[in-house]
Formats: sequence, C-alpha cells, structure tokens
Amino acid sequence: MFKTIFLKTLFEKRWMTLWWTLSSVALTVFIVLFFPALKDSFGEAVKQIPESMRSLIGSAEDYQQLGGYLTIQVFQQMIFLPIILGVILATGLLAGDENEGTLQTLLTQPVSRSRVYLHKLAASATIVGLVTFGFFFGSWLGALIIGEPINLWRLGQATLMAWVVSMAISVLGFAVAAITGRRALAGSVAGAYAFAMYVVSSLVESVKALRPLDYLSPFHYFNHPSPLKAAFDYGDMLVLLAAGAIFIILGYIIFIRRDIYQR
Amino acid sequence: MSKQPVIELAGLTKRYPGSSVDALHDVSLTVDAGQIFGFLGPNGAGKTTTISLLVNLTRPTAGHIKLFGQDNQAFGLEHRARIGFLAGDMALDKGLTGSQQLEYFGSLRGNFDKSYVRELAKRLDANLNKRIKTLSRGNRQKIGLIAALMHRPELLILDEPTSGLDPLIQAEFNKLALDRQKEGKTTFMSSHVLSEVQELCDQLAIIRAGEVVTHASLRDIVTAAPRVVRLATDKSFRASELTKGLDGISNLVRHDHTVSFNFTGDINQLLARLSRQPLKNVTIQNAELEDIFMSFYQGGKATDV
Repeated sequence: MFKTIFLKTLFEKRWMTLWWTLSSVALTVFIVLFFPALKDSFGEAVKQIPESMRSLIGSAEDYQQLGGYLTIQVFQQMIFLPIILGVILATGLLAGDENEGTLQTLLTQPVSRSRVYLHKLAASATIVGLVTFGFFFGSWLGALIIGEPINLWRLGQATLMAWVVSMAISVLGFAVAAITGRRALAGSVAGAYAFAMYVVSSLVESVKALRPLDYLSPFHYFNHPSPLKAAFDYGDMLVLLAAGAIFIILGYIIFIRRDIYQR
Repeated sequence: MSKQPVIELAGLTKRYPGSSVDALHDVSLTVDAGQIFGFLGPNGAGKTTTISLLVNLTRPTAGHIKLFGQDNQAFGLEHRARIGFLAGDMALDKGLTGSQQLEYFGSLRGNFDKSYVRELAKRLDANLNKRIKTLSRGNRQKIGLIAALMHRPELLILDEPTSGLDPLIQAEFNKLALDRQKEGKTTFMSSHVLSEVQELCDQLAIIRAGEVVTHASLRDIVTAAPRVVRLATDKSFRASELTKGLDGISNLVRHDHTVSFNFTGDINQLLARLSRQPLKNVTIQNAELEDIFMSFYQGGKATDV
C-alpha cells in the first residue's frame, strides 16, 4: 500500500472513505424506501407549493417516477455529501499537509512536485468517486427492495455527473490550496462558491436576473436537464471537465514553482 | 573521493515576500566531500532558510547553489535522491507506524533496504511498530533520522538534528556520522548549540542575521580567537614598553601588581617582549569556546581565518 503517493493516500484515508461511502449508500437506500409512500401524497402536496419553490423540491410529476424522485431527493439534495467530502480532501491533502509539515517532508524525498500534485488529486478524485458511487449502489439496492424498475444506464450517467460536479468544485479548493498553502482559505472559497452557485441554480427559474450567473454554476450543467429524466448531455459534462481542468492547471503551474516553507 | 565541493553556495540571497530585509544575504561557502560541516547560528539567523534552499523547498532570490557540481534548481530531483534530510522536528504521517513511514519513503526512493533499516533502528533504539502519533518527539526524531540515513546518502543535511534525543542516542548519532565520514560521505548540520557540533564538525560556518560571519575549521577559529594574558609584575613594569609597536593587544587592565589583556597577534613577538619585562608569573589562556561563539552571535566582525 505504500508504493506510491496515491496508494498511501488511499490507505491513510481508508476509514474516512469507508464511512462516507457507507453513509452515502445507507442514506440513498433510506430515501428510496420512502418512494412508495411519498409517490402520491407528496406529489399532491407539491402542487400546493408556489411555482418558484418547485425548482428546489421538484414538481408533482417528479414524484410519480423513481427517476424524478431520485433526481430531486438524491442527486440534487444529497450532492452536498460528495462535495463537502471533496472539499475537505482537496484542501487537506495539500494545504493541510503543508500546515502540518508532512508535505515538506515528502518534498524532500526524490519526488517531483508534479507527482505529488497529481497523485493527491487522483486520490481525492477516487475517494469522491467511491462516495458518489454510493448513490448508484444505494439507488439500485433501494429500487430492488421496493420492487421499482430503474434504468441503470441513466442512473450511471447521473452518478457520473454527480461525481463531475463534485470534482469541479473540489478542484477549485485543490487549486486554491495548492496556490496559497492555506487550507481555511481554500475551503472557504470552494464552500462559498458551491453554496452560492447552488442558491443561484435553485432560484434561477423564478429570478430571471440570476440567469447570467447560473452559467457559472456547476449545478446548471448537472440539473439542466437531469440525466435521469432526459438524455445525457455530453456538452454539459465537457463544460464541467473544462472548468475543472482550468483550475487544475492553474494550481499546478503555481504549486510547482512556489516556495514551501518549513514550519 | 571527488575534489569537487559537495555543496557550493555563491552569493546566496533570500528575501521573503513582504519583508524589507534579506533573510539570507550574499552567503557563499563550500563544503567538501567527507566533511562534517557545522552551520552554527542563533535562532532566526538563517540556518533553516539556507537548508530549505538546499532541499528545493524554496528558491533563492539571488545567487546560486551547486550540489555535487550541478545546479540545484535544474537537478533538484536527482540531488534529493543522493541526499538524506532531517528537520529539527520532523513532521511525519501521524496515522502510519514507523515501519510503514519508512517503507513509504523507501518505495518513493526505490531502494528500500529492510535489513539496514532494522540495523539503524537497533542502533538508535527506535520502535518502528508504534503509530507516529503515539511517539514522543525524541522517538519521532529517531524515525526521521532513520529515514534520512536508510538509503546511505552521499550528503546528509540535518537541521538541529539531535533536538529531543537523549544523550545516549546523541552519542550513537555521533558515531553514525563519524562512520559516514570514514566512508567519504558528507554531513551538513545546522545547530544553535555549540556543543552539538563541537564533537563532530571539522569545518564550521557561523551565520548571524542572514550573513556568514566566519567560515573556517574549528581549530582555526579557536587559534584566531583572542588569548587572555595575565601577568604578575613588580613596580618597574612599563606597559608602554610592552604595547609599543606590538599589534593585537586590547582591553589592557592594570591592578597594582597584575596586568591582564586580550591578545590576537603573533605569540612569538609577545613572548619576546615579555622576556624583557620584570615578571613574576605569566599565564596565557585560550578564550573559552563558548565565549568565542557568543561574540560571533552577539555581533563579532567577520573573520578571515
């Protein structure tokens, strides 16, 4: 397990990964188990809610199909689970280690900064991927328990997009951490961006003035439309991948050049 | 053994962002192969700044570093493969055991010699099976020391290496350093404690406020330091006859029949003068080593010895 920085990081984060993944699966199953009960009653209740709020909690039609229900209850609302984990990891693996001095110790070994940067990024992407996969597994398991059919291909696409969205936000934190070496700052920037963009994307249907800002929101490219309700939009995914790549490259360019001070 | 210096610093300057003064100013020195080189200075003098530059954690503002005859910026990765490094309070991965940490570093280096690690652990009395977070500072430092030594590096860079180590382990560390020297390997160690380097180092540089104030062998530094001369005389002693035309006398104090002064000049000339004086007794003492270094720490002038 100690052959590479990537494997060592996975080993070090094994318990964290396990608990977050199990939580992701358990919560998803729990939510799916409520689908039969909420299918009709909640759908009716939603009709009483003003139109402006429906982008947050979904429309009555969403609750008639498991796909729509999962989009709202899992992929739209539980998405913060992998995002929070991603930001914690992305900021901790570089800036956290730098604050503790272990990054400096690692960099005095014969390893390039590029290798350190990429292995830590890959480790955080893998862990976030596993936790996001919990949505897929939990949805499938839940659907199996309640006896509802589910399109696994579409579910896989939605899971992939949830991972891409989580990583787009996480790599912002990763880049800020790599550039500044300040974990709190990196976490604040990524967290504030995620929260602000979530609010923008949630309200954009009712507040038209937010539309230009919505294009900066990763949630716009995730929920617009949801892969579980419509055909997968590869263009949306490419936008998120391109944005993530820009953050990664910016962080990389500065990280490999900047001074890293001993504690 | 190569005649090329292992470490060559030329005009090395480092100024941190936002600071108006250089943390390191125009530092030039060389360390030859097989030397145990002491880099002494008070806290904040620039020792860690220099070492951070040597191991590529930071970049110089001006000047350059050559290790093994090659530019340290261009060949940093290759150099770090030939270097072992130990920080004053080595930060290690708290969740790993000592052996996991060493296996990790060994894997990154690509030459993990388990039997040599076990030998080092035995010599340093290190417990490799406990998690790092449960170890005391001294025991963590032992793991760091093994990590620095386990690949038999040509150059060992140590920043305050024995902080936290008990005296027995310090003595074992000294033996290890001397064993390395016999193999022609180089050690560069910083310290703010003279006794830490006194037993080991053949060459020294003293740094104060970012500038090297002296760079010489320990013996030369002691030889060049002022001697304290005390004379027991009678009433006919004429101080002017002693001092006239003789360089190197300072702080001359006369009390009744005793005279004392510091002397840095030619000892033969002094003895010739003294032989012509009516003396009852003469004592000439080397300055205490601690005093010499304190004078450098507290603002002594740069010395060419």
